[in-house]
Amino acid sequence: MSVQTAPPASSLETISPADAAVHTEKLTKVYTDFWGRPKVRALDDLDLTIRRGEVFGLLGPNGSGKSTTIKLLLGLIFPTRGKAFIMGKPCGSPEINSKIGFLPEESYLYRFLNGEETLYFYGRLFKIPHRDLKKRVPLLLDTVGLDAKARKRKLREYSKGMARRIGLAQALINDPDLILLDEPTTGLDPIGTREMKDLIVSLKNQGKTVILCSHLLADVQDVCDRITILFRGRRQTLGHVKDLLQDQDITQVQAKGLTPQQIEELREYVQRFGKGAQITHPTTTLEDLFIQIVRDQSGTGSYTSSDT
Amino acid sequence: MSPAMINLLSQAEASEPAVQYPWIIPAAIVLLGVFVYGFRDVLRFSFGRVWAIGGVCFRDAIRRKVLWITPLAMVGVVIVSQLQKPIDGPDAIRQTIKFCFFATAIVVTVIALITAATNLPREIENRVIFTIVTKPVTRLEITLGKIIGFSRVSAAMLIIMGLFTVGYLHLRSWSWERSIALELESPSLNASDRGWLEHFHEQGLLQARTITRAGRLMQYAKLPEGNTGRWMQGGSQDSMIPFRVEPGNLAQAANPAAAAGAEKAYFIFNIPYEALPGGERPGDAAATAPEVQIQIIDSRSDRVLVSGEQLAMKGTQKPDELQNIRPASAALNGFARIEIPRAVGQQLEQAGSFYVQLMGQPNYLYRVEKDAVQIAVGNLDDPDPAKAQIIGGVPPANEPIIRGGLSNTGQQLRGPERGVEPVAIYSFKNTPIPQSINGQVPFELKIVIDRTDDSESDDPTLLAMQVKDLKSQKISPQTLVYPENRRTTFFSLPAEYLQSGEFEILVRNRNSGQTISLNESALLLIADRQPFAWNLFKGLFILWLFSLLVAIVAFFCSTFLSWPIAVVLSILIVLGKWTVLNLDIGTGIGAQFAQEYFPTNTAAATVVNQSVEALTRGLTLVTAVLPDIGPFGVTEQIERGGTISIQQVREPLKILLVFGLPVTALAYVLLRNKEVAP
Repeated sequence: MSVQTAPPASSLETISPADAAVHTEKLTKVYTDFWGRPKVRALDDLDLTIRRGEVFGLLGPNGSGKSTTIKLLLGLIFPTRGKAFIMGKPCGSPEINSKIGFLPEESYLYRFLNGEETLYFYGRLFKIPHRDLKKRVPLLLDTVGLDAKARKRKLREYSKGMARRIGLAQALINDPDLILLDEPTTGLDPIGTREMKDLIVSLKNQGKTVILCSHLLADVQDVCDRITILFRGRRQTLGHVKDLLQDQDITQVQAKGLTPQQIEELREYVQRFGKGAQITHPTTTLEDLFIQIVRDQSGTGSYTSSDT
Repeated sequence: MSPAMINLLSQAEASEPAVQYPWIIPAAIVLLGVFVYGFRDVLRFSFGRVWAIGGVCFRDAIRRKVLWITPLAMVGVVIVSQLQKPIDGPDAIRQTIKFCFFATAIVVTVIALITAATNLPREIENRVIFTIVTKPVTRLEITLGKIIGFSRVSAAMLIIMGLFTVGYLHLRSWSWERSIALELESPSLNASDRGWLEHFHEQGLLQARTITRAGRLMQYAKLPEGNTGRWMQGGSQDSMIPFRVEPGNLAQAANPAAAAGAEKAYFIFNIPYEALPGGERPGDAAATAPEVQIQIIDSRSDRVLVSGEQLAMKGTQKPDELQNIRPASAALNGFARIEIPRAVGQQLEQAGSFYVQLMGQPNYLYRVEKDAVQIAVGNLDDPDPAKAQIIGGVPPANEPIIRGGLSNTGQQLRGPERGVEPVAIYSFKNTPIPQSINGQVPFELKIVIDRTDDSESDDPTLLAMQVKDLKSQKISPQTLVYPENRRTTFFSLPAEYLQSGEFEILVRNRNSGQTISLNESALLLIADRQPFAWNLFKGLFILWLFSLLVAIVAFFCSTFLSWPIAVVLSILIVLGKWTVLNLDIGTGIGAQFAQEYFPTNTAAATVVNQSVEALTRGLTLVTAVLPDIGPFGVTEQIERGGTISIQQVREPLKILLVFGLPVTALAYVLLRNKEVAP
């Protein structure tokens, strides 16, 4: 599979809808009451273009229109106005759905099936031959970190983290080109969260487009190439994460092995050119610390979910 | 008889229009819904996906322990059948079959209804549907997959209940057959019981007989001679003369606003009579003339459409009262005519087809031939028959029907009285005759016996049976049968009189103190026998088709309603037509209501009549599009030991195709336009 690299932001305007992974034009959704009277304008004239091969973050507070956008793209609901295209074709059609993987916010799966049965069922919906499924299902279960014991358990017995993992496995059963992940790290422990993020990066490296919808901004920041922030159904901002987060007015200098005297000298030097100069020791993230401790204690460096 | 009358009679013998299934509308719905609107989905159709969705639907039901209801039903059947008090072995088996089928039907239907009505709303509510519709699955595949899943659940339940039914019935029949064998060894057993027990000893209690019903049951005071000589006994028999009229036949003719001398419509009666010995009343000839009561019956609803009073009469008419204005031959010693009022004419035209019912007085026999009642249009007001002008009219649509007095269980056939021995005649036409055994062909009879308090009433009921070959007109010697009340009796008749396939079975009640009730199903020809299990399988298959119909309707309702309302609407759709048919609502019910509750208040009666008729029309219109579940009811037939014919399997299949397929197409269209996110 070829690896695609994301083009620069300036070239976005030149991408045609057919070349884009997702393209929306004035996409609007108004929820109505029983009598057809407008009740809530959940999405308002959303124009959005997501390139193929990028990890795109869809951010916003509750009720901002993120889930509505995802539902419209998947054909679960129909737009009041506007158009939405996936891979250049109107969204919601079975033809397009064959190229999509979707991990819903909660793991909405048949709770009476076990992990393997679930994947076989969804595989059959894609008409994947049984012999291929026999190879693919164990591979996927390994990929999402569900061990042999967990595979035979009913989904109703799964912990939230395990349910997210099997949900992710069903989203990947068809080796999709576009993956929509709605709150993918919800319910996962830090190890699972890290693995999920690694997987997203891995998918991106395989040339797949990932749309990430999350409240956990740190996760989004870690993996997304570009993001948009929605508020009250409208797009508030759109761009590369680095561009949006970069403060051009502040300069950061990092160095290793400096003595306290050298640090003091450096502070004095910097203060001559800029106001409010700060020189501190960097800290690692709590997530990194947690992962380090768990991996050190398990001694293996790997971690799977079976009975959490 | 005038030439005009003769012409009218020659137009008779109109045939009933054949019942046609309305294929066009359902086919159009399926064509437009699936093959036009859903053309792309049809192109993408994959049975593998449908089967996968059906499989999950089936496993959902199984893992929800739906099948656990079947052992409960079995326990219920065993308890109820053990608590019953059957009069004999066949009755025990009959009741057990009824309980088994009842339990199976209830369990399968209720589960199909609940499962199908709740499945989609539940999947939308818990959002499992998100992971289905976001896969390359069309809504057509989802619709069909769900229905196949429900049908698999029903099939599983039917297999379990069917196996239980076969096993339990064999156990019960084995037990009863042993007691029959012991009874047969008893030396004190009478001849009547012995024959009956021997039949079951030989044939077993679990029977499936192919039976042939008679095409018609009539009853006469005397045995007719060919097509004439149909005599009706006043007081215990009546006659029904069928008519079919079209708009303009009567109402225009009877319009009083028309120019003076314009034609009117009349019923003309030509009913000879004779008094029974000792039945004449003293006095002159006019005073002894017997009366005939007349009313008009709606042929569709069997309700009284027009009473005698509405015919502007006193309710009765003396047949020879007007004899002096019409010429009458010596043979026609009764003759009368009644003008049809305008309003009545309109009512009759609206009804289309109806019967003129004639009821005579006791002590008299009336001859009711095909020309007994006719409708004439013209001017018969002038008492001088020479001036009577008949310019048209309507002949009877068919032969008159003469029948015994009706009870809840059928036509009553009396024993011989005062020289009259009524005869019931079962007519068989184009009947395939089974291979005879010792020159005899088997029949079965099940009647209700009403013993009065006469001296002979305690005697065993004795019926004399004869066969009349309609081709050779030969009549067989009498075969005597001793039937028991409400119990099936088996007897045989000589095959040589049946071979033509066109024959009549003549039944006479030999006990003068007793009355028996006969209906068209009381006397049956046993044409063939089949294994009981095979017959049961066909019955269960029909039940499965019914559960499929219920599931389709419930799933359709669940595509636009919440599940509790979907359940209620599904019940209304499935049972709607059956309920209306059983309520016996039809044309004429408004008049009946009005007559019953507002006999004197004309204005109120008119309002009630029109309102009820409008409501009836509305209900009839609604029920016209609902499925008729009548052909799905086969329990009684299996219970009685009758085989289910292929035609009987075909009828429910047709209903499923005509109603189930378009409803499936509509469910698909609704689902395709449905936003599945809650």
